[in-house]
Amino acid sequence: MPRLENKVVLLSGGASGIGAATAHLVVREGGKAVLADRDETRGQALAAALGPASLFVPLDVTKEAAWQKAVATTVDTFGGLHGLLNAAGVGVRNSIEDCTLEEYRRVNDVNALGTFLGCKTAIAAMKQSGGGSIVNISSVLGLRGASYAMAYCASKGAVRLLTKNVALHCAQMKYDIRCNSVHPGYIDTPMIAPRLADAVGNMSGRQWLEELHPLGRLGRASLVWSNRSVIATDKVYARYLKEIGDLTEDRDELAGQIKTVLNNAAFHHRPVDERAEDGLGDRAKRLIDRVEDRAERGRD
Amino acid sequence: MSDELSDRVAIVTGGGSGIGATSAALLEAEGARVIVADLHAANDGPGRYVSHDVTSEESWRLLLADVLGKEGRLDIMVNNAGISGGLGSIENTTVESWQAVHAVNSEGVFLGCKYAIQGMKQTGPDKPASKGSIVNISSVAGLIGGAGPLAYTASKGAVRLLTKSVALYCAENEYDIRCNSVHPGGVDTPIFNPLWQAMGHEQGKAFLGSRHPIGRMAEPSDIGDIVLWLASDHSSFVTGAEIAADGGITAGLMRRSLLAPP
Repeated sequence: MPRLENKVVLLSGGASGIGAATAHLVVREGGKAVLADRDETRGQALAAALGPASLFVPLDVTKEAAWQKAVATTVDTFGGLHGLLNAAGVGVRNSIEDCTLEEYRRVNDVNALGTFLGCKTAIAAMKQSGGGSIVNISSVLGLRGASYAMAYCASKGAVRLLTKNVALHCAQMKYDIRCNSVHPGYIDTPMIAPRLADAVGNMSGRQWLEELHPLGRLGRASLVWSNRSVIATDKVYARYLKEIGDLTEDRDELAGQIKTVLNNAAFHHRPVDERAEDGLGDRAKRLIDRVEDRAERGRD
Repeated sequence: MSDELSDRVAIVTGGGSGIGATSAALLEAEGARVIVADLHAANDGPGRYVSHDVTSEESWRLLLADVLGKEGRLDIMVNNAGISGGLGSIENTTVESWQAVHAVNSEGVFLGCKYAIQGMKQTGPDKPASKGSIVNISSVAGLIGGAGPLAYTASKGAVRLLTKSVALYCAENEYDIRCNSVHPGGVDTPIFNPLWQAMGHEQGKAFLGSRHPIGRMAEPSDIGDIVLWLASDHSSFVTGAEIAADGGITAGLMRRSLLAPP
């Protein structure tokens, strides 16, 4: 039983990372995913891959007018708004000594002001849609401090508290709208890509970040790489494959196109290194085999 | 009166009234030289007044130059200046009022910590004590979500976490500078002037007091005593901490509902 049937979910930062991974889950569970992002190229590619249950809308989260337009487009297209994921965010390394006022403001504008505007705009639409649920991505650095991420800590602390304020406001007003914050550790997404390159002592940036977690690894944006959900995402790509399959008969070219889509969907945040390149290539070929196999059986 | 803090120099932002004025007086009573940095001078207030706008980086530069020039050192920074920004909820807070609140409560504390560290590092090792303490006034609204208006709550959450970042940064760099946040509940200060005007001072205090398990609002000195403790060496092992002085609001639930009318 799909858990999000007829539910419309707007995802800021929906073109990559946690936003993109969540969009996949929304569609898998029968919902509509509206990918709201600054990155039009990635957002359009992912929307194309996810099919008619998804839509891309351009969004700069720091602009109230952009939020209003994104929400209006969502309601016009899918008839309502039931879920909001505030996943757009910037991660910047700075300390109390080297952070400039401009940088402090920029980080807080995207992460805190952006989340505020998302909640404010969505609540108005959710009230007309019979209620809803808001999920704000804060961070473990909204729970604990970090010496090397001063502005980020401040912004995520703001998200943590504004979430509680919004939740209580909606409860008090008897709107059927819930609001919660999620506090992930370091998740393997484009946001932390610059961190992976910074060597710390004799450790690579990646090792250092992995060591920060008792589990000894980075988090994944979703279960997309687990066996169970690969099946679901394969279905999504199989549909896309069918579309581009009409364009070319060339297997290698097809595999290349699929790789582009996989990359655009940003499951890999890095410029694909060799190992990942092989992995994606293999996966693309397996997909082609499977789809061709299905097509064969379909003809029988 | 004692001389626990003699030879120490303290800056108190928003020191012209409320928690700031009381903290300034308590620091001065312990022998510190206190600079009251505020938009407006208070009549007969403690310390030496310097006109200051916490939202302006230029104003911070001038303040630090003034203090280091005239006093030669900086040991204690109390980032107390703050505004409530009205009673806006998530539904009716404007971008402008969000930004106005964050400029004072969040950016102001960020700049206060940044310039405090600069000043404290320039306090020479030949001086009696080349170490520092930064005290940031957050709020019970930085601990729970229902104790204040939206923008204020978010800004105090920012102060709570940036305080921890600053504390860890200073520890990591082996600066002998501590940084802590204080989270007062309702305190009888001018931040509640609109309420006093609407309900009358005594009724307003009784109303807000009934919202606290302890049954009353705080007086500024209740908070000033904590500021004094954090500023002094008595708290020398305390850094990155959040000290609640909220009359029990965050302690948990009581049979008498906090939300019920008094």
